[in-house]
Amino acid sequence: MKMSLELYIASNWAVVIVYVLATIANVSGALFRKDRFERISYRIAWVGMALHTGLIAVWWAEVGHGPYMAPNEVLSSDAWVTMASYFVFLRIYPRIRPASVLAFPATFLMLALSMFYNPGIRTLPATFRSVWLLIHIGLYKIALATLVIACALAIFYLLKSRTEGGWLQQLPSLETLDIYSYRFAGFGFIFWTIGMLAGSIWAYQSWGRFWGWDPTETWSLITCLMFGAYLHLRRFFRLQGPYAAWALIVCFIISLVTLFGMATLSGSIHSEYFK
Amino acid sequence: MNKAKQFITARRVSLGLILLLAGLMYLSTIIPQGIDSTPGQIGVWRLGHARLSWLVDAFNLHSIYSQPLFAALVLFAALALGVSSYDQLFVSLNKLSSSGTASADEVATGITELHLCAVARANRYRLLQAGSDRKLKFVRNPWGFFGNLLLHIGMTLVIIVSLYVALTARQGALILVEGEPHDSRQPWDVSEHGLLASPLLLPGTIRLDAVRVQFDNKHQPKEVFSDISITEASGRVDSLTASINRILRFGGMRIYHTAQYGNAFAVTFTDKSGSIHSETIAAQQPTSPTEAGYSEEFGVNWSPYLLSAKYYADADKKSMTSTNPELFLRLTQGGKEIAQASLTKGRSGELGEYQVQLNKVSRWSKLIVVDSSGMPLVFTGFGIIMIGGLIHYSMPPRELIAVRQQHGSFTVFWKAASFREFFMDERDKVATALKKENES
Repeated sequence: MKMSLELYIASNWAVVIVYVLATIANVSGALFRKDRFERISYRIAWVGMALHTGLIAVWWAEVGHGPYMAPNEVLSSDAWVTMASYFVFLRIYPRIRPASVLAFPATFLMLALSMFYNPGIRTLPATFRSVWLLIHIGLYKIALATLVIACALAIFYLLKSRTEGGWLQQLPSLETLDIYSYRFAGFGFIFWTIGMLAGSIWAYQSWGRFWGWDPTETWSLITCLMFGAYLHLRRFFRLQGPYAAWALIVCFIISLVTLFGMATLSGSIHSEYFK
Repeated sequence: MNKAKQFITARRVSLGLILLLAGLMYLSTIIPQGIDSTPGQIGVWRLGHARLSWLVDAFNLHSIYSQPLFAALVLFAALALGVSSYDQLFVSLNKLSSSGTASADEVATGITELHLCAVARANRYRLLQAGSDRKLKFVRNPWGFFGNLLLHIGMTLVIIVSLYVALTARQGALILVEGEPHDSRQPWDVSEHGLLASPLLLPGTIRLDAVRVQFDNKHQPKEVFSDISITEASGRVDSLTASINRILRFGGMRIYHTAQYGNAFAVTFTDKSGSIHSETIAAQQPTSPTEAGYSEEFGVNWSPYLLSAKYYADADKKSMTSTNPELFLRLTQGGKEIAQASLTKGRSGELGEYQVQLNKVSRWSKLIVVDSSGMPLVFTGFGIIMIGGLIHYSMPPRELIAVRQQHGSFTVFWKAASFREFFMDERDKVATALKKENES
């Protein structure tokens, strides 16, 4: 199936609109305590995901490589993984339901942002034809999705602990929000760490070295250490409540700097696809 | 001894160490490092941060990763992790055998042993111990007690072996042009070796026989092969093929094919006095027939100008496998272009004050030769970290502890090793199943 660049861009914007509608329904459901709106929002989001999946698949076939070369492909697949992970984790842990208030807008914002990165066909260097690259990138995307959920729960914890009444009372108890954000930070830490290790195996296979203190590598290790410190504080120093929520938000911001900031600003080999 | 051990494994020390290492790594991303910056880049940074120079020099902050202090910190971290792993082995074994009910929830009472065992089995809790006749202990995911231990053992192994690799590894990179031999006594294009290793020497003369590139239907290189031959001092010749993402092993060394390859152009420059200068210019493989591949800008001792080149794989811009590439030469001075010329094979032209001729086009590729040991252990450490992390965060153990009452039935307690809140539904399900016996 052939797809022109114009059609690809137009289709992506259509998916953005579907996700925006899902977000509006979802946030309205949360604000006005209408379960029906939330259920509708999930159905709309499923439609958006189905279209999004089709678009990624067609573009994959068109350009001959996975969604990890051009910045628009990277952000689009990040958005897809965030939404997909939310639905997978929602099935396993139904109490994370309110995290949709952050996961849904994060999805449409990433997809919309991807359209401003000059969509086009990028060539795939021969070194990128490795299964370790897919594992490396895939795990980082899942780590981002789990950290979005963890951060959403931490933000809700802070909001709920400061405000009485309103839609926030629909959220699970403070204790539940706290423990769930801790658990999802743990998942994010593990996916991040394994993604980093998979990257170093790929680097060893391609360049003969498994670590090179490249700026993105270094920031990835810093992120890993910061999450390690956060988990250490929670486990051994009984850090919890608002301090834990703030610590998690800081770690989440550091992870965003690593994934997007370093990729855009630094002279890292990881930044090639963002140029 | 005990005090030293207590200090090494103190939680505050571990936390401080993590933050200190993260802080040093952060500094390395804002202060240019000798390992990945040119002296020029470091000089520019120093000019812009003159007031910080004394601090940077005092702590040798342009070489954070190669100074003994950093190595000592990493070694200390490895030591702390190692001692902590040793302690955690006993903690894990204790948790596995402990049958305390202090932090457990009572979920049912008056339960028979038969029913208890059936419910435990149905919910995937396995009987671990029945040492005391007053208590029975069932655990779901008993291996979860060892997750943290494995995580720490893996990290210890990776850190220690990585340090060993950094100290003993040696490597060199070569840019080879088809048909031109590179003698083992000739210097590498780039080389480095660890503090405890001597410089790497090739086992013989290496020659690039051919570079073969396979393209997919979108003109993108799918596979790149470099056929090489190595002639040892004894006269023995080995023919080998290196390719991207496939490690080639020879004489205890590993040979990597980099993503740098393309056409090498043999060009003669004739100046106004009639002197002829020959240069071989290597430019990177273009990514499509309509895009150019570029060389680096470089200086030559016979001209005041800088020289650079780009080329198209096909002068007609239609094919990636054409035998008629088009070369563009450029002379610059002070960042300003002085002259440009385009050439095809056998043709000559004017490049400013020089008469230039393209005599020959051949292929080139860059290979990296590495001699190091210990990598299998690093990857074993990675595997242990992955397994430990997954077990620790995804499979926390849950326990059913049954205490025998005077009349022979059991009171049953439930607890989770961590993330208790997550398993409330499971606890309630087990409790309901246990109570069914009483109801019936």
